[in-house]
Amino acid sequence: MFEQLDKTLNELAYNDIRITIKKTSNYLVKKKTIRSLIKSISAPLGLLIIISFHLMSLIPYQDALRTSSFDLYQILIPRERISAPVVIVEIDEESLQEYGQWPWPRSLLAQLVNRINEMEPASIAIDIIMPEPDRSSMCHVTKYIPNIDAKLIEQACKLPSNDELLANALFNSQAILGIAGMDGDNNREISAPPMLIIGENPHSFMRHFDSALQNILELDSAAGGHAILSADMERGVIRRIPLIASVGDTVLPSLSLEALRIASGSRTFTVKSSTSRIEGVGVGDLFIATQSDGSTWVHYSHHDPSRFISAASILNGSVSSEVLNRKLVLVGFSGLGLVDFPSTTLGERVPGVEIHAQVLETIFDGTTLIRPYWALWLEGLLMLLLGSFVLYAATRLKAILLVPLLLSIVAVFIAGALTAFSQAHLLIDIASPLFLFIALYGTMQADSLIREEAQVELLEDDLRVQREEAAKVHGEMEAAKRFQMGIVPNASTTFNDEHRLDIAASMEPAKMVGGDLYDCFMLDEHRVFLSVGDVCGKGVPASLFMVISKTLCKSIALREETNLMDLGGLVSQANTEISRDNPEMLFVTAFIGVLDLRNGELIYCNAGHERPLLCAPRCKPIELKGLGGPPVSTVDEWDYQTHRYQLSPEEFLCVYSDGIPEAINNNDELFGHSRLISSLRCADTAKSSGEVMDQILEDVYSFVGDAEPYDDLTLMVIRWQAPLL
Amino acid sequence: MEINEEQLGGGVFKINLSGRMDITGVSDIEKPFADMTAVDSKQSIIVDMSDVPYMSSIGIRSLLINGKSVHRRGGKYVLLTPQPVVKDVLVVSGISQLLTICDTLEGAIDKVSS
Repeated sequence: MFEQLDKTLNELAYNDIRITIKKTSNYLVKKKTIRSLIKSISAPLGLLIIISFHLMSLIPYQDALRTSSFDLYQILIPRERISAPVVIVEIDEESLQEYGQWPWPRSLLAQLVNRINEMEPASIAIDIIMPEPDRSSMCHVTKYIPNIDAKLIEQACKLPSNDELLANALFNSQAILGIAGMDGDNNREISAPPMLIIGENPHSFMRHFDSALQNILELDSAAGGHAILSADMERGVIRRIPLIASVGDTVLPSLSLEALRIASGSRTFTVKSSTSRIEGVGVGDLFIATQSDGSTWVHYSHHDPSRFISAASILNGSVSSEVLNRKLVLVGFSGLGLVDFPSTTLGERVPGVEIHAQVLETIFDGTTLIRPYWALWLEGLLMLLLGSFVLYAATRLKAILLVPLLLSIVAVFIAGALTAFSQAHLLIDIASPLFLFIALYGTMQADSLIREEAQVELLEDDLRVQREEAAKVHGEMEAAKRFQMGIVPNASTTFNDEHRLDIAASMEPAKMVGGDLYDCFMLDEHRVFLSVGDVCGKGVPASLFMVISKTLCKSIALREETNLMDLGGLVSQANTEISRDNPEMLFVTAFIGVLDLRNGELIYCNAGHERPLLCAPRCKPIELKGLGGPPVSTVDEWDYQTHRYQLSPEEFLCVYSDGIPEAINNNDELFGHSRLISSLRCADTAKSSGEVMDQILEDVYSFVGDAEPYDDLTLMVIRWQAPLL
Repeated sequence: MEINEEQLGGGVFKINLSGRMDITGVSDIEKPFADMTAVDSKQSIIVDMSDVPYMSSIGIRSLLINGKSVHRRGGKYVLLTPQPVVKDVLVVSGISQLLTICDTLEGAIDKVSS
């Protein structure tokens, strides 16, 4: 019975906690393995999917992100204008004021072209489309004058028409006219300079229009060059200009390319393409790398009024011919109300003709931008590198290392992209890899946050279980302590009527249950049974062992056949019985005595217990001698000796457990026997056993301070008071 | 606490204990101490106490349990040169009447070999 109970309690008290912790941690480990397995597969897989989407250009809104980042490059590092090969002759507000409202008679336009031509420019390109005949020719105008002389009409119509005048001027100056691509049917053959193809047929790669808004045939056939003026706007901004485009089956160069062709005197323009894309366009020896559709990213510099010359100042001859000599001249509008002002990447609204001028400048300065065909792959590679780094490092590196490392990687990437842009005029999209990186890093962080929360929850559960267990154990400990405390008698009330005995006893159990015990009762009219014991070992088993030992001792002592003069025999008997059921190998030290109140004779037996101390006023405390035996239940059979001592009425007998000399303070010092003996000097003045006991306990407590009590403190003080005769 | 074992020849084993034999100290050595004494072939065991400055009742229990286990299978078990404080505890608790205490290594070897 005892064995079973003891075992159960022991397991409950200690092993359960360990088992719970172990189980929980096993569960944690298992769950973690599966999670990390899923994570280790899913994250790289996701990364590869995103990269392949990138390579196939399937990521939504990536284009917007990319063009915004290219815009940012240009805003951060706008192009410096190096040479000024282009002059724009603008039909501006000033010209309109001086020469009247638009449309001008084409005779005036012819005059302008002639004046420009006289200044010997490299080429003249006109950014004006004239789809209808001029109705301000004399012949045309006279028809609308009522009652006019028919002769006058005849004479007027003999004069060259304004269109004829302009056609002559265009022919003489080799000027270039432009058309605008449109949707819908084409009604007339498109005039275009001959194209020289290098490599594959580029038709399918380039920007295509079904038809075009053309100039009237008379002008068209007189013009020295033909160009397409169209450029596509993206959200109001012109970022790219096609350097070639097709209208129907005809391929036309852009205004800038055609201007270069006329200037260089080439008969043809060149298009170089491979099986998959257009590589570039050219004129004579000049080659300009383009995007795969033959367009170019416009490399903008800021709007610059020095590019412009008012048409009025050409017409009224107020500028010297040097201004246009050997220049590429573009003629266009800038007068308000005549034209839309598209935005540049730099956010400036400029007349469309200036964009053509800027393209020409970049071609001249060799600063045309190119987004190379391999850029997509490079960006994919950067995504792979950054992504792998995030996946690897985010879980392994500490934040203090990770954050500066990531920031420097980001900085290096941005610096690299800006350097490529400013030095090699390459457009590498750094925004996409960085955006991927931010998204990935954010996901990782979110994931770990969620995981941590789950773990915290798990740990909280774990903690709760442990707390419950601890409370359970604590409850058992408390129960055992109450058990222990409840079984020892109250010394001050037990002998209320016995004037021959002055006794005080105290037991203070340590936090973890100890196994101390004491007992005192009257055996008969004159004899008192005293015992103080200490079970070696702590916890519930020790206190149960103590209870059993005490009960056994008492029952043996009260047996009628027991010879109380042979106290050693009593202890030997108890030893034999206690040893029988002792699986935990616990043992108990005990001091057992019987005091005869008639004569103060103490019969005692010591089983491995601390020797009691005797003290009397003005006497040095002494130990109660007498050879004892080993603690009870260390050996199955032992013959314990009985001793006698004659108490004097002035003597105090102090029986204590080793908890008193072994009380420990915060400095790990022991109270020790010497301090105990000093405490006993109080016997000089003490009036009762209670005072002696209180003094000793007070000394012990003040020595220990707030240190955790380590062992039970048990103390019994006895004085025989000789009967009054 | 620390514990180690050395073989002295002639089938004699010396277990060296060092440190305070209180409740925490004993919990350190409880398991290895029991393992060392529980081997059937070890018939002669000397427990060197010279490095133990203090012993509480839990230490006594530990010495006794292991001593009993050696005795039960007919082996010899002696304690060697305990410090005076520890020896006093052994005497007061009556353990000195159960376990042999030797003052010299030679004496201890003699005791366990005979």
